Amino acid sequence: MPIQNLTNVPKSFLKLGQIRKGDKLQGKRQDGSTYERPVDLDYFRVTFLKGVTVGSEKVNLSEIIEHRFREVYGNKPTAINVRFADHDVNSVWDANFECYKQGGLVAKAGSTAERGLYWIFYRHPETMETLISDERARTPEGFVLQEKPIDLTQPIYKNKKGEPFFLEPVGRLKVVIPEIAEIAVGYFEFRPESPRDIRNISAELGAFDAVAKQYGKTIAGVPFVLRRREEDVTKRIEGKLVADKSWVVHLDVSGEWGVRALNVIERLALPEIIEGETTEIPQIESGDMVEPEAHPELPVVESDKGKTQGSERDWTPEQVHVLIENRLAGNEFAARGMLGLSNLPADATEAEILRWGKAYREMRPDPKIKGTPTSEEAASYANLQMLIKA
Amino acid sequence: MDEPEGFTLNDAETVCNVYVCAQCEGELTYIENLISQDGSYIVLCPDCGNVEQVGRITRTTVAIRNEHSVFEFPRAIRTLPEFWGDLIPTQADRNKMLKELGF
Repeated sequence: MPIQNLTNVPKSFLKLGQIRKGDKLQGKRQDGSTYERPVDLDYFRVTFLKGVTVGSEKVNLSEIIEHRFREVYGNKPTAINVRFADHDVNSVWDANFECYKQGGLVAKAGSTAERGLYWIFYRHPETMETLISDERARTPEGFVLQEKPIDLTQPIYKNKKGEPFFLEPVGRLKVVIPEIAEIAVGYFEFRPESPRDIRNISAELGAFDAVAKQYGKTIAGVPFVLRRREEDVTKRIEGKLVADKSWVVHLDVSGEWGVRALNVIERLALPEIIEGETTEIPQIESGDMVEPEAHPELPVVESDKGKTQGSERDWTPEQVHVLIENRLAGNEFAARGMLGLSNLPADATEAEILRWGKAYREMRPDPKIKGTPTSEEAASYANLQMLIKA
Repeated sequence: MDEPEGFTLNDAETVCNVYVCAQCEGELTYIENLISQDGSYIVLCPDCGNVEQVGRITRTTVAIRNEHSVFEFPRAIRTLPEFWGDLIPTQADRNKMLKELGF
């Protein structure tokens, strides 16, 4: 849906706000002094950046965006529709170890299988001098620090009370909310700080990326839902493991794509059933010799790279008419074109052609609709359906 | 729990100059900590609260991110054409821009 009523759209992919899981509630001590304690909510807490303006008149988009969001999701959303504006998972999802002091970042470390833990940013907790930034040492102290291995069990600093503060995992997920995309070109940042949520997002995003790649697609454009669900989890409280409930975050897919993706995953997880012949192995007594059986010559398979099997077959008029009569193709030319993309055998029955055609049309109901998969993509899907259901 | 420690006057001024609120990226201000009365100052965002709780982010970081967002724009509108396809410049738009630039 196009952005409307904006005369000057800022040519930037802006950050529009943040999505959080928790909040800080104020408490009061007996002596009257107040303190803030972190609490995990059962909904997403969404905040909106100020200063998102457009045009020379500086129309404040932030209020419009917030109003639209509340209109659609209310004040306590537990599920938010999201999309990703990049094909690569690494461009939309990142997780690092971070440490903050008085609200400001003092240390940030990344981790890869090849490099292990490495500093991305480090500021001296006392002097606030930047020793490392953008993974590069800026001072001699920074060089020395880079040589030492990072120990997550060691505190980065201690506060005035002597309480230690460590590097903690923090994830960042850049999502586009479709209902807001009508108003502004921008994204929201979901920031999980729980290792469980970070693991869930990483695993689920990776899994859906793998499924999308099977169709020759990517995560971009797939309709996801960022959801909170109450689940039984194990927590460590005062050194003991206890079972408790928690509102865990998951990344699901919605609608038709989700159902099909799950079907593909389920079918692919089943063992393959193949047709074979059983032969009896002759029992050999000591001293007997058995002549080896002559093996039939295996047929030489010509490479058909770049060609589909369907395009080399001569389809009978009856086969072609199956698609036309069932309104799966408009005319003979279209029907032959569709069959040319299929992997149906030359002697495919009418029932098989009908099933293939329906699967094709399911994916590509109307070529005129924007965003409809191409004929090749629809044919690939239908071919896969025939294999799964075979 | 992490309790706010407060800042010295000097640090509070520096924080307000260098940082913005991490939640809304609005301007920060500081007030004297009248509760602890230890001469410390609280830096806060008028909308979101004490920055030691809600977080602060440097203006430089915001500026760098906004600069990068300009380069991310063409990719984003092409990746999600169902939302922003109309913003993808056409050949006519490009020709018009070149003409306006004097080429």
